Amino acid sequence: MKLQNHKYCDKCKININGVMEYCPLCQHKLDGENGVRQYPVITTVYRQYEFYFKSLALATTSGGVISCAINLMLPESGFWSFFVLLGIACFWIMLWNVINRRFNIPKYISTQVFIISFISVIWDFATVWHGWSVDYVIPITCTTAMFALAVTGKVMKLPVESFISSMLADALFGVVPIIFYFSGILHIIIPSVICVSVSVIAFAAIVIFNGRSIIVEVQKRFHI
Amino acid sequence: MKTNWNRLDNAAMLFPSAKWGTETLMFRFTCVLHEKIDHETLQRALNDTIQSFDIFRCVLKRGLFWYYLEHSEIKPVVREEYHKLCAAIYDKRIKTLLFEVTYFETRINLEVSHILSDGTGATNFLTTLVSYYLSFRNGLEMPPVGFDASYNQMQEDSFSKYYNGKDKLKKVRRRRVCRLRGNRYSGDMLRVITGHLSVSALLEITHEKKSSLTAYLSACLLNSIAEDITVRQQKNPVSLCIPVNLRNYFPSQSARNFFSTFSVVYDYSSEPTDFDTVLAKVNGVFKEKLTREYLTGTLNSYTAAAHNPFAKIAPLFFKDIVLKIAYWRNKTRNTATFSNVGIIKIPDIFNGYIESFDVCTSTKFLQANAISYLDNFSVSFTTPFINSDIERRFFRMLSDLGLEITITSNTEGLEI
Repeated sequence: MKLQNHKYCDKCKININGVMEYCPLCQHKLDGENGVRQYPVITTVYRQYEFYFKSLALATTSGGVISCAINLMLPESGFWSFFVLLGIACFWIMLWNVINRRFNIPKYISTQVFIISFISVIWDFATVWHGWSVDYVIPITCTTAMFALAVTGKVMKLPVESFISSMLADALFGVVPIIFYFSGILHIIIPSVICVSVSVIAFAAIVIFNGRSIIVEVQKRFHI
Repeated sequence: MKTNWNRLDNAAMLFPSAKWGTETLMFRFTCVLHEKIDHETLQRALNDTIQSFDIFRCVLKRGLFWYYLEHSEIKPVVREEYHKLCAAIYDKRIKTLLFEVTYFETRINLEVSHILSDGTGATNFLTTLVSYYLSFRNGLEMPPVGFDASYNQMQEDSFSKYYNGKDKLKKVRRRRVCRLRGNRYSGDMLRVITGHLSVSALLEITHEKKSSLTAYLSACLLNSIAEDITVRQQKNPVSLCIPVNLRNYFPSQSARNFFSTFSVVYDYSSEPTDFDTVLAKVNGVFKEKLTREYLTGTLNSYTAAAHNPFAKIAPLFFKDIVLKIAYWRNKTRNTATFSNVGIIKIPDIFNGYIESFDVCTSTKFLQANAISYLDNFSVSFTTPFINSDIERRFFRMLSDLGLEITITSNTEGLEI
């Protein structure tokens, strides 16, 4: 095959097309006119914001170490540095979730509900159980998330399939407060009752309007 | 009826979990024309091509047990080449199509994920795309497309169709094989070196030796590797993996994966190293393995794993780990891969406008891919290793036979 301008490597006895200065096979210096460029120059993609994350990681690590150190110097002040560490851990869990799911808002919302519920229970335990996590945090997050999902779907004009599973997961999770209600651990019952009712209505709405989509979605996700 | 989702075919089941470093499971078919590519026309051609390849319009999603392909309305967009060779274009967080059309100067690139299709599917797509492009650009009438397949035929999983549940290959304990080592390019870069030569001149030489073209070049590659590796590495045999297009043995119009592989193993520490002996052995292995019986055996053995009930119900996060290990165990049983995609056919009226076709794939070791178009034979080596001695020995072996070779390489664009 004849190609226009090309260089010649007399060591390899091979024509070389393109704009290379050295033979790609034997790295011998080439003479002759450059041909046409064959490949674009590709720069390595610089990871955006990497520096900020590294700074953040160092800042939180130092914060944790320093508070532990001060705590060790002042043992009579109680084990407060434990809360600092717990705070840092929660911060990173939340941040990780946001970054990982930033392209899938419905999924982000539903996982955020789980994370917030989980974290609030842990904090409630750590700060001598008052029950505020089950009284307020879990039911209110669940209810708001369901409205948030419905609004997001409408505003972002998402196809039903893309947020139906998040909505369903959230609606099912929203029924959990009924267990709290009957096991008698609730001090304040109104938020939980509202949450359960909204969940059941949401669930019914999904089944009535999109029952077919749910079946297809289940077939897809659970095929073996 | 068209469904809005599809299972992965039997080979593709492994691929989403297997991705690792430079092995992105992407491959690239290119077509070089005589004139610069026009962006608008290429976009128009792509819009028309995608109509006949509806199965290419999908995104990869995770289920509880398996990955699956979901139909998507995302419109494929033509771009000027902007990323490194065979870069992973899909990310589990962002849903994108599993193929991409880019161009640079006179070259059209089609990069396809192996999850979606294999060489045959991609070739059909590219030739259709190029046909549309050339007919729009030059005001030619678009001839009817060269292949005949319905939507269902194209999306068929031919592995499952021909799986009979018996006739498996006997398990043979295979020896450790020699593995290539060395410094790699940073940033998961792949280097490609493509050599173009004349088909007729090459065939003259191979026929003189009474050998097929693929077997001849496989023997050349085996010897090039053997000469390059250290004596200690030679203690283990060199093994070359040869993919086979099963459509030549089992009738299928599937545009998805339908291939199998076999290995040519040569022990340079105990067998003679002269070219003729190696070639004779390679020819023998080709004759033995390229039979319907042997290929039925490989097909059944591969497909059996996916039909195992325990494998089916294992959750996906667990499968991800197991399949990755299985894939890489299998991968490291070969030193390198040599794949001859075969002859590209395109309607005659377009021949005057096309210079050549090339193909290359992502790999973690060394992969050679060959394709022929009219009298133009192209063989591309992709590798993440900086050392190019195997390629040098291979091409010098051919140029010493008096063949005229022209090479191109993406080293001109690599930042080292």
